[in-house]
Amino acid sequence: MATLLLLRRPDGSLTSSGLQVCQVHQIATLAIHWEQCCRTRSDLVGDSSGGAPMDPLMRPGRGGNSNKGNTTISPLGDQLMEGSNHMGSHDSLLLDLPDDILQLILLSLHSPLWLLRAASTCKRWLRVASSAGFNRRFRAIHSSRPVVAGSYYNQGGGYHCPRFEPSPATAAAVNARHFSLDFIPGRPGNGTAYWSWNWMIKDSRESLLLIYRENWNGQHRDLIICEPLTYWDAIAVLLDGGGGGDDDGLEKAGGGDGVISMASFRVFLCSYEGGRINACMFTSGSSSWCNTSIHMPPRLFPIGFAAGRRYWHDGEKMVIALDQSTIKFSSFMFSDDKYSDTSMRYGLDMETMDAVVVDYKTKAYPLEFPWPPTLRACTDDNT
Amino acid sequence: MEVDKGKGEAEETRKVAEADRDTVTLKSSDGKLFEVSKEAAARLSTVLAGMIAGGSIDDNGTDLKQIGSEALENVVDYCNKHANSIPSAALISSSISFNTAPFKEPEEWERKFVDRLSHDALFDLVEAANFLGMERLLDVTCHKISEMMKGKSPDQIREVFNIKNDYTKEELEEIRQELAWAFYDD
Repeated sequence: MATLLLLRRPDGSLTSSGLQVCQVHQIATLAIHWEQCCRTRSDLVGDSSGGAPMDPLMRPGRGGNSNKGNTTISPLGDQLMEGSNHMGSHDSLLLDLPDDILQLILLSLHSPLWLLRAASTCKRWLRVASSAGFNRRFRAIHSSRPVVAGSYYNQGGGYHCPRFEPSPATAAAVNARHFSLDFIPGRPGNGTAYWSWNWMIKDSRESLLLIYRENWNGQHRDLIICEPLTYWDAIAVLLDGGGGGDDDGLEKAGGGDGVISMASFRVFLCSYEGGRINACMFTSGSSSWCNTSIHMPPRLFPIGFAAGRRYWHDGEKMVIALDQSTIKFSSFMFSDDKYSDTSMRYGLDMETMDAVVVDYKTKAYPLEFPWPPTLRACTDDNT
Repeated sequence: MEVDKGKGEAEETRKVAEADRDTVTLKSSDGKLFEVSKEAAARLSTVLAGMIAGGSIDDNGTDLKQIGSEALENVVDYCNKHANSIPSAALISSSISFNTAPFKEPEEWERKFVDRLSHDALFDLVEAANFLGMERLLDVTCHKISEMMKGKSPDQIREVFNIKNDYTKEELEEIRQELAWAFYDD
């Protein structure tokens, strides 16, 4: 049986609710899936009041939509003729400026860290920075160079949590203890010796982490998706199934311009069982996995991930493709057998389409600041 | 009325070639006259471009009542410097669409241009750029202001910009809790 656990921060208390089992035998791939659709956290707060069986993101004492103040920037021309004759004194330098100029200034801030600090100086700034239009523009402008807060690294062997190393740009501005994964249950010393197995980071995507562990015989598996920096509840999915010897090929899904958050994510899991490749997808807000499978050839080698599809080949000429957004398999014959070297682990470079060897043992899992950089505090009643 | 140094020259020029000049004369709220390249003004300011195209430029000095002489001097200075610098491809593309074009970093000379301004002069220039529809200058000045916020705590930002903290104690505590990670000072 499998259970989905709701994990609450900061007290760490757990509640559980029944969910559809995801039968897993041999895990091939475990990754956060990039979801095309763009939903904000506040959307989910709204959605989750609809009585869904699982309500992971509902926080007690909060119900409002934080993005009420939907001020979109107006074309400059609209402002021009409204200019009043108030040059000169600047008792409060920024007080005189219209909202859309304030937007321009805040848009230049680049890092969500600076933006959040600026937005929390006064109510007006918070209102401007919280608008949906502002968030869209900020993302559009800065998505090409996201601010990486730092990276997590799995610690091989022993009973260690993954460690965090802040990036040079943020090390001086952010206390690394906020990135600690202490809130994850079952750490050694917590009196839960049975679960004292390594948590391993399997994937990171923007501000989300996918963390996994299993016990010595693979009988018990835990999967947690969380946003370490915020107090959003993490979601833990307990996987069940025999077998073992996981064979994770972690490649990031890519593309799209959506925003991933605890309100909008997918976990993608691929496993081999019963002579079939089984692909499963868990979508935030749902209570079940959707899955599909295809007959597995006698031999199977992962090629990599590109353009929303994951590829395998059979060592001969057949290539199997899985479209991760639709969870549909297809296969075709490949005339070239250049991927026959099975001793290597391949990733597929998205831009050059070249196969690259990936060493997952020393792989860094970069973490970005939460998005959108919106303050939920005080926005409910002041917009 | 105070007479700017450039005014005399401007009047001379006006007498010589009234019909087809390659400069326009702008008049600040306090009556000072400034001359600026017509080409640069039309290229950098949507408002001035509209006035030039619509023939509403006054050869005796187009009144810009909302802009003080110091700010207008900076505007003219910026236009002239801009006319002398080779416009980069980035600059041209950034003026295509105000709403969707990604922000382009200020160029070196633009940085220097805003760096030498006092706070008051900088904010006056923002307002002038906004009034005149000068998107690039607006970007550059707003970028400068945002630079002044980076790395600062909310309290420091309030101090620099003289912002009144209008949150209640409870609200501040709520913000602190939610954004504990964003503030290093705890």
